[in-house]
Amino acid sequence: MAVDDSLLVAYVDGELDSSACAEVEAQIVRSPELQQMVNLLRQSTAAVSVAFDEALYGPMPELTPPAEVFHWRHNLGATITTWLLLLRPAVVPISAVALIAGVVLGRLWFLGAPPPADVAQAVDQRVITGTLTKALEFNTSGSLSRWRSGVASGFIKPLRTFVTKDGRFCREFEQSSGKAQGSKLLEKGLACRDSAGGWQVLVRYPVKSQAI
Amino acid sequence: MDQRTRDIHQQFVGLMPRLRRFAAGLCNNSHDADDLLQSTYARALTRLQQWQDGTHLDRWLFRIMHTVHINSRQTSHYRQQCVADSEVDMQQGGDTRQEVETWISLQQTRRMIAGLPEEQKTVLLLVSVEGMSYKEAADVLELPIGTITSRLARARISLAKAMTPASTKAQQNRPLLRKVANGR
Repeated sequence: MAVDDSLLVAYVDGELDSSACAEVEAQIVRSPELQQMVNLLRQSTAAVSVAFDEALYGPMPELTPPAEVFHWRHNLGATITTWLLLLRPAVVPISAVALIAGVVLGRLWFLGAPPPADVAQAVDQRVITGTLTKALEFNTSGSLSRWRSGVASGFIKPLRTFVTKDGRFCREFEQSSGKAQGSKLLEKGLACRDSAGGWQVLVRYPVKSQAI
Repeated sequence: MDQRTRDIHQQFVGLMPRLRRFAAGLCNNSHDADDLLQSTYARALTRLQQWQDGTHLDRWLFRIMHTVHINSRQTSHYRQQCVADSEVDMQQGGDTRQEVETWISLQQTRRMIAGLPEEQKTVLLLVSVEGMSYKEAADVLELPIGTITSRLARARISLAKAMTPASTKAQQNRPLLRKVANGR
């Protein structure tokens, strides 16, 4: 049996039955090239499997039920009445003013929003936040979670865990960040559970700058 | 909302982190990903009559998300946004950082995934990120299992090669260099 790419990938994914698996393994043992490819496939699969994990954590977006569709389908009469009410002469100017005000405010807000001055830094920050949330959620105190984003890297380490008087869970943590060869900024912080079930960082302060 | 809609809403909320991760992989841009999540939610609730009780709700929702994504990509506005963010040269993704050794950064991995052809990327996300079996992914995408296997193999092999550390690439090149030296 020739081991082609599909077969090798299926082997790494555990999708082969026991006899096919044994045959592929026998060939892998004999071939350093296949061994190297299996290792590469395993490494890259591990990297891919966590690539979008940030999306799992933190507050989820608000979902808007498609209310108007329901009205239209199930209660067409009521929907038409609502529209007729909205189109009454007295309501039209108010709606128009509200619409213009909304557009102006939206424009002002957009102009006022800071441009992404340093995109790389923003990405680093997202990776750090993702790693921090994951570490606070799953890791025991004292264990290190490493993060890396481009040339920047560091670690997160949960320290003490405690419950406040009002029953809120909080964890202290240590965080390091910096460029590959440069000095690393060491910070400590405190994060507590928020009402949405995520972690809210209440304070973060530098401890010292040191070469690691 | 009737009882059935409320039930589906509850289950959707439970599945939301996974759906959001799939959306993030498809769009490679968190803003579009959240829009896709919302569109999937809206479409699922308005097409509840298509959902058969007792079948896998998660697969049905992943299928809807994929369909919404493909349909949205056909509108130029969305395509510009989504692709502009994710347009990546595969080789660049592998070589931009000289310091790449065994650890590939999240950012690079995402860029490499974004550079894959759409149909390969979708299968990769379902199997390697969502942890589905080939059969489950075939069910979601309504494709034969053979198609899943070959698309996945192409995606995984090209990613594995792109992620090959610089040192290994040098090793692979060594015999070739030696041959040239001997021939002189």
